[in-house]
Amino acid sequence: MATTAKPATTGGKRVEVPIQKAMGPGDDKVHTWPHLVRAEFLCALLVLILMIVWSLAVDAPLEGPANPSRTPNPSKAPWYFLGLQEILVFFDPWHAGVTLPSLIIVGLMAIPYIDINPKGNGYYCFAPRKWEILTWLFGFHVLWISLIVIGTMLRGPGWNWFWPWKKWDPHLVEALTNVNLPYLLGFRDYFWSAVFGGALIVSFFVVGTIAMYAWVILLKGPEFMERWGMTRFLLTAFLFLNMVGVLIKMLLRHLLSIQYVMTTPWINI
Amino acid sequence: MAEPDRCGHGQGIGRGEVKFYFAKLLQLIGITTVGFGLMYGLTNAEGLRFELRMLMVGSGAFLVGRLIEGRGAA
Repeated sequence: MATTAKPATTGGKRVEVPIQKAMGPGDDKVHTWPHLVRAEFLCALLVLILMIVWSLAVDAPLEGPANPSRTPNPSKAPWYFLGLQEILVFFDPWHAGVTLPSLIIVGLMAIPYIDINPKGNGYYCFAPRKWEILTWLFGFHVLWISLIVIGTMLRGPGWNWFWPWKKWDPHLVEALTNVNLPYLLGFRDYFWSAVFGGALIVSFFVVGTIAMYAWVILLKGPEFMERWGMTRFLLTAFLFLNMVGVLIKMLLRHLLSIQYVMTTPWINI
Repeated sequence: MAEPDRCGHGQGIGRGEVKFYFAKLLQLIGITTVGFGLMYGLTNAEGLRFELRMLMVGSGAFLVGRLIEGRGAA
């Protein structure tokens, strides 16, 4: 059987390129097609078989026709949107539903432009891409997957928090003891509350950016910062601080019952 | 015998359902045959001929199953 492909040309010299498995040291490269694609297709087939058997054996959890006079409690989004629905607990709809998803999408699109680390292309290892991988783990697992798990498993009627061993009681009434941070610190009118909250948020970003700059210089040196460039750094710092800010806001709510950091008659953060 | 529920469970299996499950079984056999062929090709350097034969047989079985299933299920 023929095991060679079309001859390739390298520097004017014809080279036979074998379509075969790697045979040992010095021969460590094989063609994507058929070797990798075939294995991937095999995996896809296995998943397909599993899905067909599952769909034949288990009924879809469909309910009766919708009744507008008897809405379900809790009303939950599809599981993949429950992370966003959970964020609505901590932020206004304009922020949780518009600003944060936009930042996620723009941030993901920006990754190829702000990441100048050439290591880890075509192979996987932790050490040369430590900070990149840790940031991704933080964003995906802490800020996305964990929120989906909370929204799916721990939120019951009234969007109250129910531990797995608690019964979902639709009549449960939780005392709302949340207060706004400016109120907690003594501000009683909208103007000064807004000024204080706004100053706090701006300070968070300014101090955070300076701290991140110092951290990068300490960790990677000024030569790296020069190569990275100020635009890339500022964009990275802004996106990263937004991620950290979401986590801080969630912890403030869970641990200290603080509802908003900045309050105005129009928007709250 | 218990009454069927509102989803039709407990109603017994009809002729349409037998056709549906038979069609799905054929499709599963087809996919498994294709998978086996690919696995054989991956593990045997000289196994391309047998692999292609398995791929064709599997694709054929899947296609027949798909035709039997038709547009409407059960």
